[in-house]
Amino acid sequence: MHQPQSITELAELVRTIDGPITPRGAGLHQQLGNSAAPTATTIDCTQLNHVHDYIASDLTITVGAGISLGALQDLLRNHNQWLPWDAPQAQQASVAGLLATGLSGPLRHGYGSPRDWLLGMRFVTGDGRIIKSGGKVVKNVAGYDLHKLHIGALGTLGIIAEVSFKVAPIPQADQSLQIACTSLAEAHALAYALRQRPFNPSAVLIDAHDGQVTLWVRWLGVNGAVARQLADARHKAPQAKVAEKGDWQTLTQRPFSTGHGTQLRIGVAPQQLPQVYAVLMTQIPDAHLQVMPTVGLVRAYCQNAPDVAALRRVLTPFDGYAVVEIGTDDNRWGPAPAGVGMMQALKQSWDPAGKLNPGRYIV
Amino acid sequence: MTTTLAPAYQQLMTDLSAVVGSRYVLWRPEELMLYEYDGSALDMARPDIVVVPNSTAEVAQVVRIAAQAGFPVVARGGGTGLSGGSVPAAGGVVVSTSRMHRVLAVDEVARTARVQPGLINTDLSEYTLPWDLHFAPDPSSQKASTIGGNSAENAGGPHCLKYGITTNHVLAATVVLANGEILELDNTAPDRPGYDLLGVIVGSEGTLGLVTELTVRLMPNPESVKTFLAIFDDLDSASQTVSAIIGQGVIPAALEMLEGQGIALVEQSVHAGYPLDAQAVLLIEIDGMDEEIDDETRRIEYICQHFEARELRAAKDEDQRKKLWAGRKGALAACARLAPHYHIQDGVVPRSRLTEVLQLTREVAKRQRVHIVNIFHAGDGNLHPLLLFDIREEGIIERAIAASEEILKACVDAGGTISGEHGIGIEKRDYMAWLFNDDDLWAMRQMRACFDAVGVMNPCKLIPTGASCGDIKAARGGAKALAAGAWI
Ligand SMILES: Cc1cc2nc3c(=O)[nH]c(=O)nc-3n(C[C@H](O)[C@H](O)[C@H](O)COP(=O)(O)OP(=O)(O)OC[C@H]3O[C@@H](n4cnc5c(N)ncnc54)[C@H](O)[C@@H]3O)c2cc1C
Repeated sequence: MHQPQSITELAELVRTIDGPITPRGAGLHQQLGNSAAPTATTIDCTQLNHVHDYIASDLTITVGAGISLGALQDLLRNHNQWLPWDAPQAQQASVAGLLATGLSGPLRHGYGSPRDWLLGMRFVTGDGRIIKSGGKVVKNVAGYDLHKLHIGALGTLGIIAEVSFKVAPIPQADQSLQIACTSLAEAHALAYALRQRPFNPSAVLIDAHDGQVTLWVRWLGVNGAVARQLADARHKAPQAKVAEKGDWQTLTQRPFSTGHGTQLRIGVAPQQLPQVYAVLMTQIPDAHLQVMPTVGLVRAYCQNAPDVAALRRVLTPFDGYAVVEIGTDDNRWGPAPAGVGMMQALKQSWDPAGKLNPGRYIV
Repeated sequence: MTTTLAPAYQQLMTDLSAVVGSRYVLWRPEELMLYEYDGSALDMARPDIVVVPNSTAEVAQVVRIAAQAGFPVVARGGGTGLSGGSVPAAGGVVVSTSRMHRVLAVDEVARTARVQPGLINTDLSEYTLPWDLHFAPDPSSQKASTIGGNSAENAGGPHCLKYGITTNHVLAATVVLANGEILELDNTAPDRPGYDLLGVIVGSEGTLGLVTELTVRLMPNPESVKTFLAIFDDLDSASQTVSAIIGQGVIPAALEMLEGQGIALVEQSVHAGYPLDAQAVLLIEIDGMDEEIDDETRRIEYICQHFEARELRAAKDEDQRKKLWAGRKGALAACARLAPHYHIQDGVVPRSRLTEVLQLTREVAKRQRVHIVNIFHAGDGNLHPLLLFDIREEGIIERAIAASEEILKACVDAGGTISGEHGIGIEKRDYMAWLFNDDDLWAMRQMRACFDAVGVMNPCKLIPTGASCGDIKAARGGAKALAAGAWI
């Protein structure tokens, strides 16, 4: 295993290593996607964790991508700032790893995904070139947004080495409720009722397992505005109970740590969800579901291997997809995505020897 | 007078007419003239043919025919671009999206709209008004620019400070590729497997494909809006106020600055109530829930006082608010009173470096003897130095280019960039090397080649291409000798 101390060292390594390479952050999400090639050389990027540029008054930061999201948040918190990104395992997982796996959390409802906060990147291609795209300022249209291509690409298109983000002030108030519901449909309807203009929660998640359905809602912002929304929510759902900030962490962490089984990622346009719930209840009735109802993203944790082909068939009319993120399946990714030929061509041109995580992803 | 057309050209016209109807194939010189330029009308090149298709299928056929005949394809929306994006630098077929201007669907629940690319920006928000929803990107050109053009340039606008730029609002696109294939990129179902091709299409300035449909995000209209005018006796205090507002965690919906000579010019033409003798004014708009407005008002008042604003005025009603904005939005036209020709730049600096770069702008203006007025998106650090001059003045072009380059260079040196929203196009193509090295540009070229190996789509734009485009330009003689298109 190698542990480069700088991006130049990383590039040098990539050039000299013959054969497959597995880039690695904290190693927490290596089970996502296909397995790495058994002969692969691991490059541990956690030493690329320097803060290159942080001007708090500009609300921008540039860091080595091996830094853990937790360490990054600690640093920002000293200046009363944060990156509104509550990915699973956020404390230990590296920023690069979280970008490569494309993981986000319930805050996505109010703040968008990391794609919306990423300003620029330096990455190392399969032939060992250091490539810069984007920049460090909040607005920049110079060149193609190549950095976006690496989000969710499982390290197959380049090794993410340095990233620049826009960051945000930590809001005054931070309040959450957990609301017991009788069904996914009810929780969903309530989630939408709580975002009726002018209200807008910052995070929304439906957690459903063993017949229990809970809607989790979080409001961040100015004290008065949060208080008014909380009152509205209590009025609409008298059964609501106060939730703590820590609950969110446990909530999004838990399914990941339940061990084996299969983890599915299911996506549909959010307006399709009410119909898709019925499909999920019949196709994977025993699954533990976590739903971002306004985003259209579902994660399903199944103890027993589900019939993914059947699930995909019933999702087709809704233009949805299902991916086996964790677990074995011969057809993990499902049908080839639109433009797969171009994706392959791109992989080929940036990584001609196919060094980076070969076979790990769809491309 | 009869015109004899070359047989290949005649054939192309016949083939294109078969697809879109002869009425929508323009070829007469007087028709083509209208498509020679974009927003600044300084860098020009004449298309060989202009087509005005009406559907994705028609666009696909047009592209296929043009490509097979060896003609480049250049998309054109409103033609308001400020970097030469829709100017056919190497000639070819210009595809105007002006007939594809419909809203196809609005989904109130998902808060999205499916639209055609030729839809005018403000028409969308007007259309979605009954649902209390709007399209957030609001370039100052929004009454004339199209959603397709906004997407291609990744346009910004005053309200992008809080709500993000166009790329944050595009969820899906139908793209016609250089070979005439139709590609559906759909992120409405989030996190679909595969590389984020949509992420590179937005902002690609029409060089990767022609977008024929888009799904965009709509935002709820805010509960309340409040607009302030802060008046300053010196530039420094105004810039520090901008920095302090952002630094202390208030993200206004918009935070715009007018400075120097521009203020009086705007006031004389718009009568927005800007004091004639002020050195800088800030237009600050906040929106959201009533409680947010109260909180932010207090903080903005405090900061403005701290930095000794001469006065902080709040618009009392919608009329006053419109007036304040009319000053900002009409600024460009107002400044035209100073000199007949203009050239607008679009550099970005970290907000904390605003003061020094604005100072430099003033020095440069003095040294190069050209008027420079700054009217810009201060909250984002996105400068818009507006260079004003009379082209008939001896040596002025060279001096203006020198001034413009010096300012952009300073933006780059301060850790910023050469364009925040207007795009690279022809105008800033050769400045890309200030930001990106050969490897970076190589990676971009490779990526582009995966979409379009032969260079059909809007060639000669965005990435420095070496000699070939220069040759094409020179050969056609259409482009200006004005220093590598520094003019748009
Ligand atoms: C007075 C004025 C104020 C302005 N203010 C702003 C501002 O505040 N913020 C800002 O960002 N910009 C601003 N601009 C610049 C310009 O309006 C924007 O870049 C706008 O997005 C261009 O849209 P358009 O429809 O006019 O595109 P065009 O100028 O027609 O084309 C621009 C580019 O988009 C490509 N294109 C157009 N349609 C398509 C399509 N369907 N598929 C693929 N490519 C396509 C073209 O090939 C070209 O490269 C301003 C311009 C003016 C004149």
